Order: sequence, then structure tokens, then C-alpha cells
Amino acid sequence: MRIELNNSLDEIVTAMTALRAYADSVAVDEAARQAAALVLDELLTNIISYGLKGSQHDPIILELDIADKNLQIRITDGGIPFNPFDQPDPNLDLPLEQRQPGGLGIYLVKKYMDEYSYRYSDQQNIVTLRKKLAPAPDQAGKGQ
Amino acid sequence: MELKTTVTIDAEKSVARVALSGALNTDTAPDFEQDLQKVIAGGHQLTVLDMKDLEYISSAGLRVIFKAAKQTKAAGHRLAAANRKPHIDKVFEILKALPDMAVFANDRELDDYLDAMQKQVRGG
Repeated sequence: MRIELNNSLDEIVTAMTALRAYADSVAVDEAARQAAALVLDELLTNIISYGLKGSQHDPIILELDIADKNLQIRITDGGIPFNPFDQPDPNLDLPLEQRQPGGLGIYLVKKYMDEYSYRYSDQQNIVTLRKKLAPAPDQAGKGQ
Repeated sequence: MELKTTVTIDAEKSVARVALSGALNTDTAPDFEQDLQKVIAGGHQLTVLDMKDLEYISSAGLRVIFKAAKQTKAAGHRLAAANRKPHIDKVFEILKALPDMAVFANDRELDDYLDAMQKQVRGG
């Protein structure tokens, strides 16, 4: 499935609706759905709020696929080059009051996905994420 | 998905309960922050975020909660998260946020805590 999203935070709802429709059509388990929803929210918020801020760009491309028993998510945008996975992780060993704000969203993306990668090609940021699908349809998402 | 918040204040026990229903994300976090800040400004000993009907949380929502946790702690008060669904709990766990927040798995634990707090107040 491939959809185009405009540079507006409202489009995150569009992405969620597309994810739900896709997940229903290919029987994605609940844990993978929740993980996918979270990472889409985090990454699209970043791209729309910072990467594409204040200028005209081509639409953001969202692609959802099943590859090697993984739910694969690819997000392509023509904003300023930015590797989200290159940022330092937040220091979670500090108590809350000593922590610096920021970095939580990307950290969650790393934790929720089994694979994540970034490349910059043809003036496009391309983020690819993979989440393993539960092997059987019984009680998916109750693992760990 | 929308977020609905319902605030209940128990002045006698100095407890504010904020029940969240729906999704706390980029979309809903700014309004929630306003609501929560108003509650915190009330200076209650304990502010409980009741997450029984919270379906989804993202980092935008967590930032609002962590900020409020810092503020309440600085004021000598507590912010608590109660009735967390397993997938919401997991997010808090990943971010190692639980030790800094009074956390209650359910209403029973919360009531026990409130009783203990009351006794402390009466006793001291």
C-alpha cells in the first residue's frame, strides 16, 4: 500500500486510517499494529513539524508492505536531510526532573521496531522500519 | 482519536483525579497540557491520572506528563498514573518513568495509598 500525505499534522490521522485498513487487509497482529501506530505518529510529527516546516515540498510518501514476515513501513520525504537515528538516546538513568526534554519519540521508535534504517537519496529522506509479525493468529501481542 | 478528560477534586483529601479517555498524542497533547496545568496549579497533595480508558499515548503526551511530574515533585506533591493498560504501561517502563511517579496498578492500590496518607496527616 502506498499513500501520499500532505505537510500537515492532520495527515497523521489519514496515515492511521490507512494503517488500520492495511493491517485489516493482511491480518497484522495487535502488537505490530500498536507499534506501527506509535512510530508513524512519532516520525510523521517530526517530519511535518521540523523537516518540512515553512516551505513547499512534494508529499510525504508512506508505504506499508509485508516482507519476510515483517510489517515494513517506509516513509519518504523531501525535507531537510535528517537522520533521526543519529541522535543521542535520552539518558533514562536520570530521575525525571533531571532529564532533558526531547529524544523520547525516536527512542520509542527504536525500541518498538525490530529493524530501522535511514538513507538520503535523490534529495529524499528515506526511513525504513520493520516489525516482526506474530507467528500465529492466536493471542497475538501477549508475548514477552 | 479524540481525548476526553474529566477532572474530579476531593478537597478534603487534597486529591485531584484526572480521567483520560481516548488518545494522548501530538494532536491532543496541547489541550491536555492546559487542563493538567490548571489542575496542578490547585496545589493538591496528589494528582492521579486515571488511565483506565486511555487507549494510546505518544511522546508528545509523555512530555506533558513528565513535565507535570517534575513540577509536582518540586512543589512537594505527587503525580500518579493509575489503571494503565498493558501497552501504556510498557511505554512508561521503556522510558523508566515509573520510579519517579507514584504508580497504582488499580483503584484498590490507590485507595490504600490515600488511606495511609490520611492516617499520616491525622497522626502528624
